[in-house]
Amino acid sequence: MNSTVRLLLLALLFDVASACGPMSGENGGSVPADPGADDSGAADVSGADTASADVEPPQDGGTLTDGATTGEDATDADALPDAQVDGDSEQGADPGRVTIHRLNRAEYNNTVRDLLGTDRRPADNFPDDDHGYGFDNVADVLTTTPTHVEQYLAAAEQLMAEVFYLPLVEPVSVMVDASLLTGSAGQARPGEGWLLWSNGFLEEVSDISMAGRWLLQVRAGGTSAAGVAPVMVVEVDGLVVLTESIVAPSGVPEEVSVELELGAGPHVVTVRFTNDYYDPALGQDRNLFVAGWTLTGPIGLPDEPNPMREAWLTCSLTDDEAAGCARDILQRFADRAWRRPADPEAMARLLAMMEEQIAAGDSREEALQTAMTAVLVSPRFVYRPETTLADGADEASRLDQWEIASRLSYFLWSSMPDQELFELAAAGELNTPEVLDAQVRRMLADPRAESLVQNFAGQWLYIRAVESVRPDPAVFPAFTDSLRAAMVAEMQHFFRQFIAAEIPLTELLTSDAVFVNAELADFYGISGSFGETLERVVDPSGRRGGLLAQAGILTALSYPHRTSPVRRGKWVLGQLLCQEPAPPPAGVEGLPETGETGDLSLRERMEIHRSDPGCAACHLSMDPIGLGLENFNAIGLWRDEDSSGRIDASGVLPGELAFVGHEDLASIIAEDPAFHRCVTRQLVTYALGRGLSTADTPWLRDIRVDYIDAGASFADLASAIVRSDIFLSRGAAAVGGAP
Amino acid sequence: MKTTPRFSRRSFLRLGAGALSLPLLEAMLPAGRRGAAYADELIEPVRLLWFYVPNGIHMPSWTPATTGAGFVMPPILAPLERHRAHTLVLSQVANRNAIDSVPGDHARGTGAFLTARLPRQTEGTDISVGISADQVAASVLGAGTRLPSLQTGLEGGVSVGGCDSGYSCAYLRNISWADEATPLPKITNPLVVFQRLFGLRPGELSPEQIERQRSRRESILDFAVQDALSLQARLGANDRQKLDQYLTGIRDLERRILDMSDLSCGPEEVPEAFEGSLDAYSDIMNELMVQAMVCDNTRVITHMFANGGSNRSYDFIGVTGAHHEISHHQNIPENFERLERINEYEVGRLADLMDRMTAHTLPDGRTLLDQSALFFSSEIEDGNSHAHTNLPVLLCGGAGGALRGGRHIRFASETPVANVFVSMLHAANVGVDTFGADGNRVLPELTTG
Repeated sequence: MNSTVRLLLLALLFDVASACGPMSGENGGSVPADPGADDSGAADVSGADTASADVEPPQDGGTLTDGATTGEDATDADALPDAQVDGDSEQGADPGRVTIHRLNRAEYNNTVRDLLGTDRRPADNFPDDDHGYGFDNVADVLTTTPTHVEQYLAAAEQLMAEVFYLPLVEPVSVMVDASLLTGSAGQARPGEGWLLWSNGFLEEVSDISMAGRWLLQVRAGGTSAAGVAPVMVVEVDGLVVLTESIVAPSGVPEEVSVELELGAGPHVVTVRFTNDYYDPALGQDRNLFVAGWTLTGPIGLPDEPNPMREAWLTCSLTDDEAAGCARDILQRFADRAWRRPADPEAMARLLAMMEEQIAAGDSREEALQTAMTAVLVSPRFVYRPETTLADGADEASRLDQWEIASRLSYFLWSSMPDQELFELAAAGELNTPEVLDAQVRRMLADPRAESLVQNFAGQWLYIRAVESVRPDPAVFPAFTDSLRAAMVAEMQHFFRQFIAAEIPLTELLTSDAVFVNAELADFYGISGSFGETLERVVDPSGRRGGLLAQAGILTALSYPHRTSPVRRGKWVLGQLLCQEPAPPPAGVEGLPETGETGDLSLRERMEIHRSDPGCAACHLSMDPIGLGLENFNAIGLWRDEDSSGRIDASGVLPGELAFVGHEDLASIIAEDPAFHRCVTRQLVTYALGRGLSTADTPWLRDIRVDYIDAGASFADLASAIVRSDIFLSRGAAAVGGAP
Repeated sequence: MKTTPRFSRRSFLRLGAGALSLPLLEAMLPAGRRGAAYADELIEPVRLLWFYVPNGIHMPSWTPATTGAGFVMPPILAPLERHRAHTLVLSQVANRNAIDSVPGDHARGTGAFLTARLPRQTEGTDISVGISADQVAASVLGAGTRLPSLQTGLEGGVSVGGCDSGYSCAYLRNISWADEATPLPKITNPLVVFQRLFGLRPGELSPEQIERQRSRRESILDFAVQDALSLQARLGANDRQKLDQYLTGIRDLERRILDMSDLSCGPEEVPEAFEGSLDAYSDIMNELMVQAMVCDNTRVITHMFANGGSNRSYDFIGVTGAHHEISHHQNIPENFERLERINEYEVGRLADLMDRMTAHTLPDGRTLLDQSALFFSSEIEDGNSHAHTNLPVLLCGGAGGALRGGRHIRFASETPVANVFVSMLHAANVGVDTFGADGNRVLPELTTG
């Protein structure tokens, strides 16, 4: 349900002006502090220093950044010899394990779309997915509740009803009232019908609108004589279709019916009385009374074909071959739905189920529908099982071809593998670097890669948060729903460029491309004529360009009525550099609105908390970033002044990196080696669906070096990940990653 | 009903043996009579409901000036004037389990709200707190109802960002916990609540069709269980745990499919998906919760009016700004006034729920409200100080006679909220002596003097 009361739930306590805690693990997060760790937060923003601990802080969704130093990381990663860059990493490094992954809502919807061709999105009714480490496809945090299971059954039933649905043409009826006809003998009884008192017939031409099967129903009664009932013979177009002894009395006619195949056009229906008998001496008079007749049809005529049905029901379920046909359809469906050749034992149970249903009275088609429903309820559909050696096995093992195909497709498409991936898996070819690289590039060029915009960028870059943010309408009446939609679309268009093109990811920050429609162009002050759809332009004033100048993210990182430099700074540090500062200590109050700080500017007020050494550690890196973005107000609109005067968007980051304005700031961030490290971590987390730990450091380093060498584009990163053993293999025991 | 004594899982379910660990007697009684199973005479069961609001309450406009009966309703509690006889205002109730020296009071307070345990600080997969009081109730009261318990809420949550100071979002978004590591997520979609309670009703089908449908569903779920067990055999320990959750869900569904008795009770119309105001949303959810209790589909309900630390906007009642931000009031009078209005609105929604419960008369002549106990509170007291030692607590309803309302009780010494829960459980004939970390007795003041 997309109720308008759906709300933003962001980090809540981080915009506090005073003390923020020291960063060495006092808060007791899930990674032990290494006493040798440098103050990594500040060090990395200052740029690469080959002597410093080149650490990989664990990305655990936003707390600690105390790095743990491992032996391999004591030197700058970029100085490693190229021989390391082959996906194998250090000997003995374990690729870790991913807990069995339940399809999340997006994945469920996409999978049924690709499996069945449906437009339905049943998972929109499923409970919200939990998220961890920044993403909602992290297997460990995806729980299955009774509500989920109930919804799985409901969804499977509805989907199979849709697949099996046979739309039929609506039949029409043509009615003939015999009292209005003129028979060859006898007379009318007005309002009731025609009495044939001697052999004779009634006849009428009716126009049949559509060829097909029609039902002819004749209502007739009569009088018997000499123990014999009158016989009625019905002809259509001169051919006898029905001969019936009519036993009902004339006063209470009975109905007799026959089904006919009729072509379109006029047809003659003739109703004949053929066995007249009259003996006045005995008072015996046999008669036939006809009230009328009705033609109804076409019956059982399929309307437009149902493509979903056509795709699966490719043979007859009613003829002699029906049993084999049903087995074949079921096998084909289970192979696809379960994303690997169906387990034979499971298939046997499905077939037994079908037979049981037929024995209980269902047709073969109904039984097949039930079996296919079961396929979609099975955990083999709802989860992505990666069957394993028993716990305690002492080596890492390669995933099998089907598991690799699924990992690939759920990574790049949030959906099931396609025909090509299935074929490569069947042929065992999905394991050389060349093939894997080629598949990655093919898949990124496919429209299904849009899932990366919705699900990866949607969470990494907080685009999903923009969809539900609510600036105070009293303070910002200009912020309408259509403006918000344009802001969301801008961020999505912007990110989309990077998926399949050879653009280095640093351009996320430094690009001068801006995507606007008329409303957003007006908001940004970019002149030109634009329509409702977004177009790519360059902002001549230089104010817009790159992520940090996009109104969407700037709004999502503000309060409803004012900006929050600390939030913006924290976001850049956390999401783009993976160096999120520790939370502030207890007892900290919010930033005083006015009052005792009088008429100090925002910058001056924030200086207060940087004068306290306990707070400075974090705020020295957070605040300058946020203050550097102060030209963008709480809804991302450019401003040269705020309430206390002209805005000064300059600053100095730790390491004496000075900047003036957001473009300088963006360059500094883009040039920080921590950026590539962080993008790597983020995408690996998303690709694997698990959190990362220090044990993953060697893999991350190799992937990063490979990706930077190749050109540092998104495709290069995705390819490096896919070719790495961290993606292709499963660890020995519960080492690293999943606990 | 199959009479062939085949040795199948279905036989197990029908005989009630082993597989589902239900008290045999309870499961065999028809729904309407189940109240009798745990008392000698036929009495209505007591329903328990917990109503959570976030970010604390503006206490100066909440705490009545006098104790005992006849107190003046402070501004925030004004909507409850019409339910005065069914309202107990409790002061000096604390939840020390939410206290720690590091930030994270919203997460801890919400995690401890119904569990009376200190949540483990982690954003990862090793979340841990404790079983919640409603689940203790459900383990007894839930045996005879279609759903052991129901969790509802009015705020889902976007999947971006951290939640609170190194605490998992799970602590902020859930108050019901099946055990220390398993939150029971709330359902925020009224349509799904409806389906959960009243779904699986066959509608317009004939008895033969109903039977066929039931049989098909049993076959499907049977297959699903077999498949899960066969898959589990080839998985590692972590993965097996995940599939255990799935199996629990299947068995829950099987039970409900088998128990198709008394399907006539329930709302006529399916609620439509809607884009509406918070009022309309809360109305629908309140009505569904009441229907659930009236039809005895469940006797244990938790309701989260919003998530812990929620930043919901209340601009529709003329309050600008975001709730959580305002609750950090900095002692500014204008913020006090805004908070008071938000809090009064929240209490108004509780009053609406109580209105609906008063409107239903049970077979023994009492109202549903007479037979229920409703607990209303927040994860902290004052939103600025984030304290947990004098929480805003209401205990409403008659609880079948166990609660004597119409009073403001200030406990002589600080009283753990866990003891309020012990008292509620006793009122519902769930005889536990302890609960959480610090619950150890019933509070006699709630019933007498």
